[in-house]
Amino acid sequence: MRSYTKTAIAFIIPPFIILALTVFYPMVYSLYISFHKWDLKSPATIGKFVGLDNYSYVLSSSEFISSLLNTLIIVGISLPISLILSLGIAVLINQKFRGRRILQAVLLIPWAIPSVAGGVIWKWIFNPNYGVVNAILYASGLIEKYIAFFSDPWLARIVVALAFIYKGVPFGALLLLAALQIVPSDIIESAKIDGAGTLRTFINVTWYWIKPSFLVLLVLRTIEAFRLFDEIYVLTYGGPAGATTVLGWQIFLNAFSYLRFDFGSVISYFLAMVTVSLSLIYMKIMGTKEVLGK
Amino acid sequence: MNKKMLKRIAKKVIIYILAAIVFLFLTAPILWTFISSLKYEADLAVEGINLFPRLGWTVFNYEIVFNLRKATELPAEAGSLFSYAQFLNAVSRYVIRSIFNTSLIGILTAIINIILAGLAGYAFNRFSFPLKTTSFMTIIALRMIPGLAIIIPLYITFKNLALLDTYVAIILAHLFYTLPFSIWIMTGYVWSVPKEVEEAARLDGCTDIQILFRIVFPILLPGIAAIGVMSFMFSWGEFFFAMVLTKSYDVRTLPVILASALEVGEQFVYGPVNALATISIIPSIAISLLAQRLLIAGLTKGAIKA
Repeated sequence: MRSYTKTAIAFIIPPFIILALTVFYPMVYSLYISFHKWDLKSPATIGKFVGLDNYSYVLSSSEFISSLLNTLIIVGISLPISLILSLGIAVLINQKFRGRRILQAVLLIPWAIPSVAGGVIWKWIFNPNYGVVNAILYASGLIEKYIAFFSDPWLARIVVALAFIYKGVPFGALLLLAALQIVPSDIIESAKIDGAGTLRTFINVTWYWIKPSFLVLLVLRTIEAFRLFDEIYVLTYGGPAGATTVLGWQIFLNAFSYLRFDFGSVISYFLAMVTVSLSLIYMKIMGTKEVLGK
Repeated sequence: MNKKMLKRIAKKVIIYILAAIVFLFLTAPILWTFISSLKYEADLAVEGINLFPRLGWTVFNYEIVFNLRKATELPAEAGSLFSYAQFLNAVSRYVIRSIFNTSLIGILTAIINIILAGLAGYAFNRFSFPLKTTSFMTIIALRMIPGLAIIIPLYITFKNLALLDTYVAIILAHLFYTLPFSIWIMTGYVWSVPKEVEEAARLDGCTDIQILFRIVFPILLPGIAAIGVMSFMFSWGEFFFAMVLTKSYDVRTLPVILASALEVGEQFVYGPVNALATISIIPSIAISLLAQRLLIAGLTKGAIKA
């Protein structure tokens, strides 16, 4: 480890300038706004100090609470399913069979496509009049008439969750696959020789090796779920009757529909705090000392 | 045939069945959109599963999306002339421009990412300086802050700086998302390059800058490529900032145009919308297949230990 402070600072400063402009300053500004009245519809009162009024108003409002609930519901539906699917796909690709390379190649596709395009795909598939899901359910006799998926609160949430699962599964599978590939094969062999079945070996041996990655994935997916926006914009626009209005959508509504920057900032801060505390857990799991050359 | 062999065959069969299901789950939704993009409106607006179109396959939707045909050229009974005309007017004329905008923003963001993250990643691993750990942790924590959480002040700031409706605004916003991630990956890559190589070069009389450009950068090429590709892919698909920070079609990107295509008229014009979605998907799929190894290395390195 050498110390070339000047060079180091010259190398580090440019990203910090950009991040200062795009994050540090906005975060401080946003804090300032959240303590003031900032209603674009009444310009004369903008900037009036109101203390914690915005916080007490927003955090106890039914809109905020229901958007928090909606977020938790969608996280609750999508997280377990996407983790299980990721793990299943990772275990599958880790087997030796012809075509696993092809499977691994297409695995990236749902992750790679633009989220708006992903939304369009699901919107078309679940179309209430001409969607293929309706056609299949009808043809197989499971439904008697076509379902308007986006008019039912729970079905709309499920479709949004599905879009989120579809996009997120590949990353999780890759992460777990990378973890599976470093499990020492001799340990697995010896467990099998000792008479442990496949499932036992997995729970007692493999799980120990992939647990850190699984925890990382759990935290990352939760953070991503709190950022959900694009799919909702395309699929439901927060509806029906606010059923898919998640926290992010509530910020968007307050800022660009109700023009209440003060209320929007309060929710923004709430959202930032949630994700930052989750990311602290994430960093704790990973540890960064090694990378920094210590 | 003994029991063991039977069990092995059964296992193989199960694996292939599962693999086929997973393959379908991953590709079928996208394929369905692609197939639908090759049908006339009249063949899409029908109930029931109809894989094969009555009027035959067509690239008419693509010609509409790229503004190469007039709505009046639509064959009789192939769809609503009015909705095609509306689509042409509200969406098609902005498509080529938006593809150009998206590519330009993606390439510029990628280049800036490579340069800044390359330098910062090097400094974070190789030098010691005050507040090093704190500043690194700050960058990593920033990676997690949702764009939604900063959009209000960012919007006001960009408005005050007269940056709304410019490429600069979108690029800066994309850097906010990609730069922390790039620095994180780059620091990991630098960590994997042995210091001895540099020390040998220093003994031969190379300066820091020479070492960086002649020795370190070439070794870090996979990392640089990974950052470039991932940053481009992010910009290509990013929607939220690109929508909120712009109003003018001169700078709007493809995802914004695609989202706006859903709001044409009373209901969406299925054929052209599926065609436009396919157009936005193709580069992503191409890159993800071509740069598969880079992406997998980048993604897994970025998330677990570098």
